[in-house]
Amino acid sequence: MAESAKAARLMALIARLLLAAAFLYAGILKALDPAAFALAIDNFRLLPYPAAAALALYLPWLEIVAGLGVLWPRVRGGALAVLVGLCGGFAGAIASAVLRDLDIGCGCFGGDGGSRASLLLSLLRSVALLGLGGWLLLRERHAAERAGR
Amino acid sequence: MTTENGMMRPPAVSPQILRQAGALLLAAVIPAVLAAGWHPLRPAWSRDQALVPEVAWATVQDWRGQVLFVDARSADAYARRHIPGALSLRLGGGWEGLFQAVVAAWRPGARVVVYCDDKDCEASQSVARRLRRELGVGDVFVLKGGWSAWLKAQKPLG
Repeated sequence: MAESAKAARLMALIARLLLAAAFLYAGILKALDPAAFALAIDNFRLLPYPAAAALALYLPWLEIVAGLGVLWPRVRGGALAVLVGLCGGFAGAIASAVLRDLDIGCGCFGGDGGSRASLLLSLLRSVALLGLGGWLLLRERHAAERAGR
Repeated sequence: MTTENGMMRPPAVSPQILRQAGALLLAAVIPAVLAAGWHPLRPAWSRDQALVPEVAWATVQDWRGQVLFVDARSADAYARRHIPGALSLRLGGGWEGLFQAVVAAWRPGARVVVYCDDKDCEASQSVARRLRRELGVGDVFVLKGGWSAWLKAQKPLG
């Protein structure tokens, strides 16, 4: 029993590091060129352009802040909730682009590049990160319940 | 919130997690506002300013001899057929080598026209933006309707 709890803790640590690394990398790349990211968001044709520009300035920093937050136990739960929300939003936007057969890149790691084929791969990645974040968030909630008992 | 037997039921997301998430959402506003004011690559607030201008094939024909075509489609599509004289240039791996070929072919005063498959592709805009930045010239355009529009224009009328 103790062994399995130890293995689960190790898996959770690895999952947190993976999630933090993915979002820090993606956030930094997009924060370097928000103009390109604004066009990548605009390509999805879901928002008016000024909203895409505002999101392009805000989202990379939210990814960086939440990515760092996952590594800081004091705000870990909140950071995971933000990342789960982001992954859900990204997966929804990419799925809608796939359904509309748009030939665009996802813009996940910077604004330029990508195509219709890579969009499916991006969708899978978003769903995988969503699952990982969701599992970690549930663990946080159970840990909080145990602590409050 | 209580269950039927009076036990406390924990909320789906605890107030503590919500508070933490709210603090992180707010914390990200500060660098975003700074980026909006001072980032050298901050986005324009209107689409017209942000996009490389589109040009119709009919207009490009009037520039004949002063145009360098750049094909932003896949390598396979380029190998199958492309606008005569067009050079292939794609984002991602291999940009440097292909870009050098474009630099070597470009002559001062020539306009650069980038195209991809059709009106629903975005590769031409991405390539044109990077080309404008790295080539350092303003006369970069995107072909309206892309390869499809050019192909349609090649068909004899009637």
